[in-house]
Amino acid sequence: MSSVSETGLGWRDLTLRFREGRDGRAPTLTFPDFGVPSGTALAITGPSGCGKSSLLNLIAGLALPTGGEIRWQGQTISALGETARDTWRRISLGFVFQDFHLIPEMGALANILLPASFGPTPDRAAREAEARALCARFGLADLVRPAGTLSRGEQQRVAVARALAHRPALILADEPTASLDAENGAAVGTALVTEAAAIGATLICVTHDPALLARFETRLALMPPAGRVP
Amino acid sequence: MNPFPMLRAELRALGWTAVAILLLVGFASAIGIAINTGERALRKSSAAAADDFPLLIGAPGSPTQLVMTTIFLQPEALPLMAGEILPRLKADPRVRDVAPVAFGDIAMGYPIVGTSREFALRWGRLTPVEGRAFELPSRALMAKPEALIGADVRLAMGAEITPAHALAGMRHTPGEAEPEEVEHRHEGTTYRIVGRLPRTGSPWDRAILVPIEAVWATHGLHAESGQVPGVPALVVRPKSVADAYGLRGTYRQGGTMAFFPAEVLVALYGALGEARGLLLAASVLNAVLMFGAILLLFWAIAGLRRQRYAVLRALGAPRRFILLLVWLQAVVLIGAGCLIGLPAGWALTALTGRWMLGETGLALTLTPDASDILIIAILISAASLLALIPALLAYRQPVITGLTK
Repeated sequence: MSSVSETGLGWRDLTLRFREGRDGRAPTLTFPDFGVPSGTALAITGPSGCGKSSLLNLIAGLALPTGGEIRWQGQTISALGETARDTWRRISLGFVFQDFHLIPEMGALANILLPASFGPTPDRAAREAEARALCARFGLADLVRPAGTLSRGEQQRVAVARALAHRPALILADEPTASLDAENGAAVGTALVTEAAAIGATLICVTHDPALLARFETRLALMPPAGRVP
Repeated sequence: MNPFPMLRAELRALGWTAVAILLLVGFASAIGIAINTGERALRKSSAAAADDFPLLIGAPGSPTQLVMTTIFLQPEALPLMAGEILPRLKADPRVRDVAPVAFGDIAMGYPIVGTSREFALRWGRLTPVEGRAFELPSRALMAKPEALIGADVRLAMGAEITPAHALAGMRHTPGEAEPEEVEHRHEGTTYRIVGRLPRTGSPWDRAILVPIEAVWATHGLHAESGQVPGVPALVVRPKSVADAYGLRGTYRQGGTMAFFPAEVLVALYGALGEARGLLLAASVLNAVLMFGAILLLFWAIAGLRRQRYAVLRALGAPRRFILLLVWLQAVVLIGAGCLIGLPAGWALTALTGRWMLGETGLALTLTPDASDILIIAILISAASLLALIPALLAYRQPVITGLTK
């Protein structure tokens, strides 16, 4: 597997140095070179503190690496300016968080369509149709009830639909089933993996959930950095 | 970029806090509007009340006191000037009309004003809406002279009233004979009400107008053999502007003072204007301080919502979306509060006007104008600028810090 793919996602010599702590030390994460072609479903595992979430933030362009580069379909994410990274995230990226992070005062449909309000969205009608179709497939019937009043399973399904509705090329999921019971976790995991594959998106999923992990053929296990307590 | 769906959610999340902010800002701006419109209404109404008094002549003393007593019927003991001035003025070719005005008595809590029949009808401008004007008392009528009442005097046609000597500081309630009034009645004198004047919006609406001869008679003074008793005030209608200035010059000496009530009112407006400026500045400062407190609240809220905004950034929202969102929240709430404050301020002025009408008889004319809008525009502009502070705080917030909270 090429470490930096011109058609997929990859990183090389990637390091992230944190600010100095009170003990005067600045922990540094070093990531092994890695790459996957577009459309791959990749699971990332590893103990706490090994940098799984930090890696997702680096891929999303939310954090900038101290060294090395991350490339996505031929372009270096960290070389993009902030506005370009915002636009890239809005158009090409879907994000699923462990704690859903929905807007509790908005209904399911409004939550799913929220990223469309961040910038120009020429295909708004198609986006809404896609959102409604996703809700139907995910068994979400009430689209206007405030998300804060939905069950945890329903909330995560709305969050998954939000990550998929604009048919992104890359989906990042950070422990998407960790806050759910087994039944809801299975439903969300199935929905995420199946729908990502259906639209041909590259799925990068950080997880400790064995049931979810079993759905991924490609896996990357990160090791704890030297000097850090896992 | 369309921040409004998210803005609606943000405002909904504030819940009752948003309602409280609206009400607080609305109240603060209403005070500013009420000061502005109230002062303006007071000027207009007092100027209108003085319209019937082109030139006032009285014994030397305080012109302000003469205006307050004659036009606004505020009870004060005025010095008398020699009665001979009245026939002299009547004979003056520069004078179109002259009327004596005498005060000092009350009946049923209403001030009694002795004057001429012509001035009671404001030299032909007013026609009684009920009954007729009083007739000059003949000797036969002197025992029960007639009275013409203002629009707000709650007495019936044909009612008979006994005047009482009004003392300084005497308690009096319109429509009621207080024990103090009963104690000081001029027994033996009774006025019979024969007519009611239309409403003029001035304190004279609550006055009982009687022939001045009857007032003199009540106080044991009689205009006999051409000798006119002393009077506290004379209202003069000159034939021309030049005559007005001429008369003012002539009667500023020789035991009298003469002035245009407008001179006194302009001086009062000057003082009133300064007070209004101070009050307005204080109320605007008060509103701005309140905005400051509210924006500190938004600052705190922006801090609490750090994670929410970081999630929006992770989903693709640019920094300026967050800036706009936080700024709009503050501006929408404060702006809406200010807009509520505009009609609320007018309503407050109307309430104050009602109270003032009850206290003084002066009807305040509420006329909204552009300066009210300007005050609101200044407040909203100030809020818009100050709202940038919490907005910039949220704008500068690092995404990662918010996400890992």
